[in-house]
Amino acid sequence: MVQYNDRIAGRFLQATLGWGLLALLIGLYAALELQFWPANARQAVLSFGRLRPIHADLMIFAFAANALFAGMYHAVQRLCQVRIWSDRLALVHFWSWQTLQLASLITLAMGISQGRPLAEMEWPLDVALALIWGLLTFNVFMTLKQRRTQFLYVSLWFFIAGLVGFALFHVVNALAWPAGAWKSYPMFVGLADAVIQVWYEQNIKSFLLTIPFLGLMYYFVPKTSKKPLHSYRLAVLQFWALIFFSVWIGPSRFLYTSLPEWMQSLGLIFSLMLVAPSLGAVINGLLTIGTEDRKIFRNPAVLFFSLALVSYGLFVIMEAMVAFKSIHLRLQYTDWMSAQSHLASIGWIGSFIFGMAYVLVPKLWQQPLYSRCLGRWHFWISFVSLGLLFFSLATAGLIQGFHWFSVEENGLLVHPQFLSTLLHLESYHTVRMISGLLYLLGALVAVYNFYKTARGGQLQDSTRALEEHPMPPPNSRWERWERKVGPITFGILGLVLLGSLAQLLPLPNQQTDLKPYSPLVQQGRDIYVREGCVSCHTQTVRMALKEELRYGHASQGWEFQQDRPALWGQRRHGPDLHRIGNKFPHLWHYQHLIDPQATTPGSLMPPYPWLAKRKVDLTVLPERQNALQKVGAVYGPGDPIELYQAEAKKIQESLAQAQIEVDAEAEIIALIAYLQKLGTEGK
Amino acid sequence: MADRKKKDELRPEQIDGIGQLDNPLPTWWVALFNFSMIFGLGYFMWFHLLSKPGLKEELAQDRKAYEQLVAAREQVALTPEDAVARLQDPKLIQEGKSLYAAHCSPCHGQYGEGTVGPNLTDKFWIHGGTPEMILGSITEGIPAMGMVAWGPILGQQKVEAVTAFVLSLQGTKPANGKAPQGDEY
Repeated sequence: MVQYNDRIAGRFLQATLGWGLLALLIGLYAALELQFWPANARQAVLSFGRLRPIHADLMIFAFAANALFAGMYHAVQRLCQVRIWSDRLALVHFWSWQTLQLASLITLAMGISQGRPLAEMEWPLDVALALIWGLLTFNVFMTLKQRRTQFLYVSLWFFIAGLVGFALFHVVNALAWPAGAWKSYPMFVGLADAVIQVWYEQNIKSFLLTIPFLGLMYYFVPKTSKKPLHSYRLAVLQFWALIFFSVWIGPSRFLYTSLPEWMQSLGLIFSLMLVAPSLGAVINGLLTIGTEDRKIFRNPAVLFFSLALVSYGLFVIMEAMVAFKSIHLRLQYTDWMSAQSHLASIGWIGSFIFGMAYVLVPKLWQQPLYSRCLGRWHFWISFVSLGLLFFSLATAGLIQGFHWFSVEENGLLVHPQFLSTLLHLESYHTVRMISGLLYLLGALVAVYNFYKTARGGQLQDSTRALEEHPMPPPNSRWERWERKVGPITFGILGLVLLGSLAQLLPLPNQQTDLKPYSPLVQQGRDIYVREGCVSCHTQTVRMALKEELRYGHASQGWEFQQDRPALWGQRRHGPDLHRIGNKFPHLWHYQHLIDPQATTPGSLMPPYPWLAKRKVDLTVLPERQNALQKVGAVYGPGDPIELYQAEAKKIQESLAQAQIEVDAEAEIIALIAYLQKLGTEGK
Repeated sequence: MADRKKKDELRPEQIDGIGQLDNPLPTWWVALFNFSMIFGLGYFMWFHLLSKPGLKEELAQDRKAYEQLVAAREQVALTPEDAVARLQDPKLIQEGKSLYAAHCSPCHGQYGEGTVGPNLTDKFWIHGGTPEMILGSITEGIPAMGMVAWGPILGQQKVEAVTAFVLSLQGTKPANGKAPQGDEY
């Protein structure tokens, strides 16, 4: 007999649903702000630049990761036929992870951010995350070691890959030098940092949101449809190809930038090669469900699993499509990319998680589902909202992309003003918001259903008889290997390291005599990071004529050589800012930041009135300069505080000429200094 | 292939009630996989081993083509004298009005009263108030004061339209007008 620890899986499932509702609600509010800027309410905490990273991080680390843990604790114990190695460690894992999410939510809302995509939390939380991840990994590996079966089912390989891979990507991306308790500067700089960021970001999507979830898929789909897995060898081949190829795709997001072109091409090629292995998982799952027995589609879980797999397949095909240079140029930075990421997060991850919850809640609380009919309603609501969300965003992206690049016969841009490419999109954004609301309502229906189910039962550990299944001896060296944790782990590590080092070792280290940013400009840059400007503004003009016509000379790699971190950005809800420096007078920037609609009628940007009121704490300057020196910036002599004051005074005086009274230490002065500095070296 | 016959055959391993079939890989899937790998290899060789023109060369070519377009544009542009005569055309003024609203009002105010930039409705001009001079200021911008050169962005014809509209603002006296700057014309 073996008693499984089911209570831990139940706790993680509860956390998943709670955080999930919050993350969706924040996403909905952010969508509202994109369309209706007064919803920012002139509050820093509520501004889009801060809410967007919170929404994304909660979706990934609080919603998806908690669901992953729930499913993993459930599946690993059963696939190993043994209780989890340490109940206490699992409980510590649970509470520390929820605390971490809460801390991340609070600090991000306060503006404590590293400005790195999907890794915004500052260094103390990064350290905590690595430690908690270590606890989980240790607990799972000890359980694997104690397993009562020789056999390692494919799901377990996927879990191992996720655990090992995520740890590596997280640690490398988080390498930074602290400047005080809640601020740090990354070890990598400029172009190299941009590569690290995109390598991390794309690998999080693979090794946290795809690979371990495929592990869950390989467990829950055969289990729920009560059928054997369609093809073992497809699973094996698909697994190793996925591990190897996905490490390389990062640079496919940087086509037409100053990244070396061979790296861009590698990103493209591997995105394309990733299609077949990913579709391998899709067909393996769908063929396992099969169509012979139509009755199983009455089970909402099966419906959700099918939708998840189809969405995943579509997502992968689209990822490969936008990796082609000419398509990428037009769609990158538009709503099309949001359409894709929501297809992945709502269509694939979201559907899978709800499908899994429909399996797990009745099982863990030992009570049949309260209402299958409500579950099917939830499915159709989700399906419709996903369709609306995807098509509204994809269409908006197409329209915007083509507006950006349409020229008249005489070679001039049809829409030289960025704003006029946004105004056509309003109705699509309304549909997007409605679809978000619909999805949230569906999730509430599901939570009600789960609540009613759970109230009828009780969350308790279940006891099962051990399976007596004779295990034939391995008939090849390969089969002997794949029953061992060690070789599999090292195989995964080897492939991941090979792909990573091939990208990171020849990392472009631009030789340049570019001087570090002055204390005032660096402070402005830190404020830019804090306010999340990178959520809406990119900082890289791509190597294409129409980009140059709109923004100015294409960005060159060496210009970023003092950027810690790189702030290339992923979306253009507003124009690119890399060539904004010296384009407008200080006064324009002042008025634009305080009241964007005054200088740009119809602008969607929220006002930032607090920047003129809040003052920079000058005492942090030496500490920050010290940290920057540690990561490689070389400063000349001179007291940073004096340099700061002297430079700030000039801007203050220039504003005073227009009868604008503002303190020299006001944050807005530093931000203006940074904006005026941007891209002026390479013009 | 012998594998084809072994359809739906169960493998011996089983765990937690999950069995595994040993179905062969679908032919179309294998074809897709192989095709993507061959295509990838070919792509990389074409651009990076055979050194076919890359993004930089493409951009240089595009820039050249654009310069030719600009040169052609300047050839057909009217002489300054003709332009000044045309600036009275109400149609042109109407066209200039919407361009002004989009591009100029951020700094010069909705009615030309001046905010960041100077008042455009009075007789005083910092950089010259004759039609040719205004046309020149808009085309080339005033980089020192932060005004963008609109010629390369809007093109000669639209700059003329904006100039026509700006000239039509003379003496309108909007509310909150900025104090006069520069010399009287």
